[in-house]
Amino acid sequence: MKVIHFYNNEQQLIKKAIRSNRDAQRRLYEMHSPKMLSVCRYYIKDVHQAEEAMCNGFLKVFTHLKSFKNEGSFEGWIRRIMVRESISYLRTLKQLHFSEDGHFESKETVNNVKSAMEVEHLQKLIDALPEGYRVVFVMYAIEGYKHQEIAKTLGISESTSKTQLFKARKLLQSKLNTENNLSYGTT
Amino acid sequence: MAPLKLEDNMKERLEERKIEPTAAAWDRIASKLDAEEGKENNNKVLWLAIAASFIAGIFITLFLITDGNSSGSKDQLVETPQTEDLIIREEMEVTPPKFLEENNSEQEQLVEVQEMPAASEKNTMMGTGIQEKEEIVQNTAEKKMRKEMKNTPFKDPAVVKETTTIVENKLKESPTTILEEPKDPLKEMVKNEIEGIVAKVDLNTVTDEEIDALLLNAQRDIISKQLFNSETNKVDANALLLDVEAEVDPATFRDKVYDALKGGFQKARDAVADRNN
Repeated sequence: MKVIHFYNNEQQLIKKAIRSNRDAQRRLYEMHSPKMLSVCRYYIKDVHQAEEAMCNGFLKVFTHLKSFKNEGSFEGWIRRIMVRESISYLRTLKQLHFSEDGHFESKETVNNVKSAMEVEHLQKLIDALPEGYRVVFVMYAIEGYKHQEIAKTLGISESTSKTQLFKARKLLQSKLNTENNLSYGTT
Repeated sequence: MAPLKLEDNMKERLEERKIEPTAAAWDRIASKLDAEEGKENNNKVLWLAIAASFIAGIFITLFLITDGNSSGSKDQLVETPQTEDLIIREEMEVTPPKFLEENNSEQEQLVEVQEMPAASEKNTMMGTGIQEKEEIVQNTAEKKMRKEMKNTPFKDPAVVKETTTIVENKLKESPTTILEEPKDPLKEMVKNEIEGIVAKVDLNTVTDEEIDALLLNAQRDIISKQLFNSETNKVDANALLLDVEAEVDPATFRDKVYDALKGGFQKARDAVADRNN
């Protein structure tokens, strides 16, 4: 493994990208875009809209690349930008609401028991959550943010963040139980 | 603990996922980056233009300030061109056999010519006729100087030119110092001579008639200016009437007395003549 070389290569690409070297910027984009699109897809149901949010995120990455001071991983820095950009994209679509009354939107049913825990199924379970529940759940459970950080990012209180998370878990659990009962033939 | 296990499982599975973007995604990003860089370049050009105009304004103000100071300093050196002109004029006037003797004599000339206007200033209170007399005095003084210069022995022109250039350089370097040398005995002699020349001119020979004539001319000029407005090319009728009335009735005390005496004398003479008849 040439980890050291890779690390040096990324650092060199970052330096070149700061000087507006288009090739270096494209190399960085190709290295991190698949992962970042997946991150945006956590929050946005439509993959095309998620891609739009990802493009906006990379635009901010390259225009503010000078502010990256090598204090952490470059991927973690990009990821934080993508999360904020996805949330702001939902706000522009006016789809981000933190309602107290939640209901499960998905009408899909589990067809295959083996695929119960597949990634796409998990994604669909997450997509079925209301927007407010989904964002808080993803930020806490998948991204690892604390309630304080979630509250600051979303502009809500910590109690609202905790409530949203609780309800999201409750819904997911109830959905999984339903799916399991159906799969095992119990009601 | 089940939800936590579920969340950990979800996190693990989702972290492994990668979704390839479309080919057009990078093109959109590149086009937006080009637009952003164009804006930055325009802002840089704008800031550079503002900075350049600010620096140009500073240079212009400095230039104007230094130009103003230099013009003020030129005022202090106003006298030097006169002296230099005098030196040049004297060089032109002096023919080869009639050059100066030494530097001091040339300085005497400078002092003489400078003193003449100072002496004439004392008599400016006498009127314009006196000023004319002063000019005559100056000319006579200059003529006398030329006569004196004729009497000086001949000197090599090259040497004299050197002395003149030396004097010019001294004037240029310190113009006021040369003019302000009061302690030279030769200068005192020159000064005395000037005073003698001035004393010889009898200023009392200016007659009253000449004064009256000059005053009349001045009065006529004033009246003509009052009557005729050069801006509108019109004659003031009221001023004209007043002027005519003044001519008709002089109203001077002397004339009134004279008229009264004349009338009384005529009456007395007529009475005596009639008594005899």
